[in-house]
Amino acid sequence: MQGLLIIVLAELRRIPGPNGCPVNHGRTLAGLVAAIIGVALVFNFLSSGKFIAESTALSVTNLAGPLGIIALGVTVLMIAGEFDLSVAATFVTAPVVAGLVMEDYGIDPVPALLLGLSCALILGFINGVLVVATGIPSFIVTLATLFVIQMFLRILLPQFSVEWNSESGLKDFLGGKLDIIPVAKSFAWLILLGLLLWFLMNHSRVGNWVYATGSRRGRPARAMGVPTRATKIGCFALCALLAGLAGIVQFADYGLISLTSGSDDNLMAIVATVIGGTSLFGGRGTVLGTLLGATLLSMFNIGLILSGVQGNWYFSLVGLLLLIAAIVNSRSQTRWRRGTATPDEERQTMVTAGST
Amino acid sequence: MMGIQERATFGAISPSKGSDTARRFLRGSGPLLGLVILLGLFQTASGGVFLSPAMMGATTAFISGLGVVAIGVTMLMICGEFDLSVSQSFVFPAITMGALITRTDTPVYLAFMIAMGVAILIGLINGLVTVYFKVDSFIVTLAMLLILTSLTLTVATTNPPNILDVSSPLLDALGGTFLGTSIKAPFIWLLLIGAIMTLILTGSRFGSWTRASGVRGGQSALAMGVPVKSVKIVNFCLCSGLSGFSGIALVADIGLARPDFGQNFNLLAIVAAVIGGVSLFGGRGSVPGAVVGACVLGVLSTGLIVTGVDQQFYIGIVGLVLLIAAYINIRLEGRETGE
Repeated sequence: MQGLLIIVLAELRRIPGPNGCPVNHGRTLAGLVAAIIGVALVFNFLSSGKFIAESTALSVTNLAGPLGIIALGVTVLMIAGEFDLSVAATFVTAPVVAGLVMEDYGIDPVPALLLGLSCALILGFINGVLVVATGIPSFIVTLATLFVIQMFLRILLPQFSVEWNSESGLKDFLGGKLDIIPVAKSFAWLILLGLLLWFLMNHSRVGNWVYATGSRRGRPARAMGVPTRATKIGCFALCALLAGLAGIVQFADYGLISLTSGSDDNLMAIVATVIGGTSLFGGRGTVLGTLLGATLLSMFNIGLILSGVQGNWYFSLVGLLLLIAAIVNSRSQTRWRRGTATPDEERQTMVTAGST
Repeated sequence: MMGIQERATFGAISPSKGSDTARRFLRGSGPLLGLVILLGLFQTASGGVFLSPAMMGATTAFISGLGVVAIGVTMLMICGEFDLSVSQSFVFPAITMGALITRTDTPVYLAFMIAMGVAILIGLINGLVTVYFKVDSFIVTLAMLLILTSLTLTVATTNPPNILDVSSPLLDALGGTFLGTSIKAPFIWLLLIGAIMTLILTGSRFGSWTRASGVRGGQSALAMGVPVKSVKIVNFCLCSGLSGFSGIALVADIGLARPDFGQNFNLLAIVAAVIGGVSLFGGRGSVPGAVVGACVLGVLSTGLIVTGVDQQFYIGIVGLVLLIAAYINIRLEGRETGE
């Protein structure tokens, strides 16, 4: 317990990033928590007390779960300096493959889901190899693979949607809601995966590699012998795997997946990541911020509905939120680049520079 | 796109890879060659039906819409920036114009001016935020895309503006037929705008500034006294202005302003620009190339229908074409892979 407390306190302190840029995860996370509380209070007022309720908690976490799990992978990839626009298609691929083999061949859910996840993993691997081997920007590569995967999905699934009919313990294990508190299980998975990834990113060598690969386009890291290409391919694979996992969790939750499920999620995952304080230029970011960012997005979605605002305005609010978050992120980074960081930050920079 | 400003383009061409003449020929005429091959392929596969006037009419409608958007996107990509909001700057001004004409009895000319003003304002905001807040244009224009999506849906309501009954010489000039022939006006606009923008890009000071601003994040250009910030902002305005114009021309042609017009144009315009040979790192690109890129996408779209190929294959083929085109572009630039 005490060890956990120390880790949490260490996370809340100023942590210098590997590129020497002082990364204040604590400030970002505190800001996000404050935003979540503030938004909850505002929506509670606007919806005359309907927002802070058990049913709302359930629907918010229900939305945030799958989106957040996708966004976790996108965050890790973005920290490594790359993008993945194809996650929206990977998200559907895993459950569609699993659902089809369950329906058509009567295969048990466990091997079926594993097959779906391996498909996602392979797609991520292909993305990574294409980006690393050709040198084409990942934005273009994953846009192309998004199109190609969508084509295969339409061929694979002419009936447009597939159901999970067979009753199994696995379905209840993955989806539904928790027994004790009104929180969707998908959200519990998100928190579990988020903590796991946070530990991996902050307390393991691989995590260091990811940060280093994204810093200054990986040049210093390569000079230090970090396998940046393998790290990038691994991040692409992880990103796709998490997207597939998110799709499977939603499949278990709803018992149905259609081709249009999560069609906006590639962009929304990027939004959640940027709101969570991850730098678009790589090398900087935190998966915990992304977790909170996804929660904030889902709160907006539900809150607007409860407040009786037209659903159209959700996009506007998300756009504004994204813009504000990006400007705040960019300002803190520019300040560091210009050398006008506070003495404390300067000191941290020097400490990092000295230690590497 | 991340890091677009940080990429260095000059000095990366190594003379060992292929002859320079072949490279120059491929860069200049490669897309056109591909288009001709594609046309021949569909013409034979469809038994000679494909190049008939009726088929060409359907194809050019798509091409003229996308082509003008792709020209703007190309200009912007040359100066090292991105615009993901073009699909909305395509449809929002057009819907605004339709709503003004049908719901408020605004004169057509005034409504057109207001709509164009709105389109240019979108680019101005994109540009100002990108340049002065130093936020990646990918994120700024993504935010703009989301914001405009709400506005479009709100203005369109459940009853999209219908201007079929409105007759005005301006609407005829924008979307009617060209001087009594069967050629639609938007296609003439595409050729005209393409010609003008080619002249601007290759023969004017602004064109050189645009290309210089895209190399090394414009740092060398800045050192030489090029007003990089203004050049980028003007190109943002140009990009959204052209998309807005293209959307208005389409609505003038069809007579209906539906919020789902141009839905994937932000991505397809990038695909067209890449097929046309624009550098993914800024600094290089061609306007005629973008038009040819739009033609390739348009011909693919109708060609697949005519030859009876399942429509599902279209999107996958577009993806493959994008990948191949991007790879050829990178090889032609002689870039080190993985760097």
